[in-house]
Formats: sequence, structure tokens, C-alpha cells
Amino acid sequence: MINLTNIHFGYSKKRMLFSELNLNLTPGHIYGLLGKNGAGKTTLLKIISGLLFSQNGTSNVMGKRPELRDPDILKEIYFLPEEMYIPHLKIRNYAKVYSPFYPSFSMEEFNKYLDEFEVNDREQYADKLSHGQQKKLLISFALATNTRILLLDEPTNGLDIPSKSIFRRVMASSTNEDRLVIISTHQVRDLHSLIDSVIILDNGEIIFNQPSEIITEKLVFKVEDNDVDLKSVLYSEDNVRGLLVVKENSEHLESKLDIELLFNAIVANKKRIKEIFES
Amino acid sequence: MSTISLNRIQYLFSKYFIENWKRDLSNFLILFIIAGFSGYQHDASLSLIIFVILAFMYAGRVFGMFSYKPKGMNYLLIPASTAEKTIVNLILVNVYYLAALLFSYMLGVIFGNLLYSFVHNYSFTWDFVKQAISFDYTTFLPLLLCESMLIFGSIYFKRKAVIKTFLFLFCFGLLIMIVDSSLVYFLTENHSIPFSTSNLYMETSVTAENSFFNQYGTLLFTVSSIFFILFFWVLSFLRLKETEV
Repeated sequence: MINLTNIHFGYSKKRMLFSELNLNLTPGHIYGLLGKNGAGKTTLLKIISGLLFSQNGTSNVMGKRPELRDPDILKEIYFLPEEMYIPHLKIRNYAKVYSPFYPSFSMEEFNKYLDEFEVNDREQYADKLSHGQQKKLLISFALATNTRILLLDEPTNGLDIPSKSIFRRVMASSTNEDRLVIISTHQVRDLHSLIDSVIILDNGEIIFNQPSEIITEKLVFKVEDNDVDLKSVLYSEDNVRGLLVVKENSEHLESKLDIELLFNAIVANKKRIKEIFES
Repeated sequence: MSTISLNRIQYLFSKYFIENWKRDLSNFLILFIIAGFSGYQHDASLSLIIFVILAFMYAGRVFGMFSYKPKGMNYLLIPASTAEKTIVNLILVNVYYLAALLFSYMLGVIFGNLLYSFVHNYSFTWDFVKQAISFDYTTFLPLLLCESMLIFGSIYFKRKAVIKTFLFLFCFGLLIMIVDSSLVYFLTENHSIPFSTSNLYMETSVTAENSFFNQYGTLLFTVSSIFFILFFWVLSFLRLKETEV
């Protein structure tokens, strides 16, 4: 569904952000896009949505080049940026204005999601809402568009604690086999249960792209005593519960994926983890 | 590839009117009040200046959205083609807004006159109204040309767009004046013919038999204006296609 091949991109000619970046994503997944600040997560989402053009390489989204901004593609992509633009419109008018562009938009779902987020007064001006309320409005709209590709940049930023769990619930309920969701985030703990594939962007390249089940098949995430044999440990960090460790899962143990630990392990021990996943 | 769809054009218009009707209405009201005052004073000059300023401000803000990144992103991601977005803007700038401004101006002038005749106990006459609204198409061509350049400037220049656009307008105006002056100079046999310029429109005082410009001046002006208006709109369209946010 999304195929990026040998993508080169930089904001200045001297310093390239991506050099030969390759990415292949299939529908039916919720991808978590992780990376350090400035790694290019938002840039990658913009290239996929056609807001930025790669300087070299080919981008293919649903069989077409996103940079052409063909309405046939745009009506199947919804990009929720971290910094949002909300026009001076009442909530009910917001849907009235933008929904006709999305053929699969469901007003019923839109209202249902708004109700779940407790954004009840549809007569309020959307630009007068708080940042969190605006985010809830746009998340509700994004999900109700029923586009095949949903790109969410830091969707939980600004959401209060109950809203984060509502977000997880509505996201999970709106996912299907035809839909591809990419969530770029730093707040992995908020989306832990939602993400089923992890993509890690580092130094302008995709250093990791694996589904959760493969990750837990190859790696084990455990809390160990401090006297653990560090030779077998790929990454460890101290925690009040003990020592959080990531190890190769040579004994086929079952463990729960800790995305934050995984990210740190990959950044710290990139080569070894790559070998494990290639074996 | 569905490049142009009437449905999407309709949605874009609907989006525009729902989002902007209050702002537009307040602008039309401002012009109506000033034109009413002009009608009352029997002097249309101030309201015509406001008319031009409002038209320029409108054109300048069409692509001004790109100065605020999230707004620019929102616009580019609307599922409509660049051609559809350009067509909608072209109609809004060249037809809707201009017609609505003209209508507000005319209504204001008539209202002002009516008020004058009522206050001063005169019988209402159409003389001033007729004079104040007697435009022909050559009056609008320079306006449309400037608007098309403002639109181009608003999308072409990313930083300090207003200053750069006005500089560009000034340079372009200067260039046109030089070209036109040279044309008059070379196309008339008498090279010492006096001429004056008004809104790029040359009025020569040469005699009919030796004045090629006098015969074809209006035609040349009309054709070149339409050419440049279309030229800048096409440039804006191409620029919009390659705009990255």
C-alpha cells in the first residue's frame, strides 16, 4: 500500500535527512513510527501524504505518486498533524464543510466518536476549543473519514488521561483489514496496546520494521535481579521494579512487548538486534 | 485520474462560503458605507480607492495561507486537484468578489444619493450615480492584472511575501511602462509626441493619421492585459502544484 524506495530528502542540499530510505507497509496494521527528535518522523509522514517531495527515489502510495496530489489518493489519506489548523467554524459545520471530500465519511461515526470523547456541544466554534478538545474533534473526524490510510502525528499530545484510553478504544474499533494506520509518537506508553508493528527511524534510515509478534518471538522483555549475567543482555536499564532487560529469546519465552525498552535497545545495540532479526 | 470534478468544485465553493461569509460580508458592508458617504458627498474617489484596496487585499490573501504552515497543509490535503483549487480561486477573485464589491459600491452610491435628496429635500437624480458607476471593461483589466500578480506573489514568495510582491508589482509596472513608452515612440512617426499614462493605459494625443498606437492602443492593451492575467494565473497554478509544506 505504501512503498518508498531509495528516498533521498533533505531540507538543505548540504545535509540530507534521508539517504536511500526504503519502507514497505501493508494494510491491516497500526504502525508505531518511533525515532529521536529530528529523526524525520513528521517529514516521512509528509512525504507519504504528498506534502513534501523526495529529491530522489520513488514514492508509491496505493499505486500512485503522492506528490501529484491526485484527489483519488487524497480522499483515501487523512493526515492529522501535530500542529493543527482549525478554521473558525462551528463543530457541526466543520463536518459539513470537509466531509463531502471524503466519500466514505460517516456522520454517524463522527457523532459517535465525539460523544465518546465527550465533545457534546456541536454549536461551539472549533477554533475556540482547548487544544485537547480540538485534537479530539480532529481525531473523531479522521476516524470517521474511513480513509484507507490514516497518518497520525503525536495524536495523544494534549489529551488528558481518560481521553488517551478513549483514543485507544476508538482507534482499535475503527481498524480493519483494509486500513493502514501510522502513528508517529514519543509517548509509546500511551499507545502500547494499540501498536501492532514498530518502525524505528534513526539517522535517516529505517533501522527497524517488525510486527509485535515477531518482536516477542525474537526478543524477551524481563525484569531481572541486579545479579543477572549481563553478557546475555542486549540492553538493560534500572527501574524501581528491578533491572529491565531485553534479551534474545533463545528459550522461546513469552513476554510482553515494552516498546520504550525496545526502542532504547535498538538505538543502543543496533547491529546485534539486526543480526537477531535477520537470522 | 479525475482532475476536474464539478462536485469537488462545488464542495470547494461551499467550503469557502461557509468559512468566509462573515468576513466578506463585513468587507462589503464597509464599502457600502463608504460608498454611501461618497454618494452623499457627490465624490466617489474615496470609495473607489477603498474598492481597489479591498480587491487587492482579497487577492493577496488567497494563498496567504502558506505563511501559516498548518493552514497550508490543511489546504493542500483537501481532496481536490490543483486545477480545481485554482479554478475556484480564479472565479472567486475575478468574478465573485469583484461583482460583490461592485454591487456594494453601487448600492452605497445610490443609497447615499437617496439620503442626500431626502435630507436636503432635493429630487433624486441619477446623474451622479450614472457618472460614479460608468465603468467599461478597460477599467477592470489593470485591476485584474494586479490581482493576478498579487496571487502569484502570495504563493511564490515564502518569506516577506507582501514586501516582495509589491516590489515585484512595482518592477513589473515599470517594465510595462518602459515597453509601452518604447512602443509609442517607435510606432509613431513623430517621436516628440506627448503622452500620459494612467493605470498602464496610454492615452496619446497624436493625430489619427500618424498614430498606429491610437488605432490599436486599446486592442493592444486589452490583449496584453488578458495575456498577462492568464500568464500569472497559470504560473500560480504551476507554483501551487509544486508547493511543499
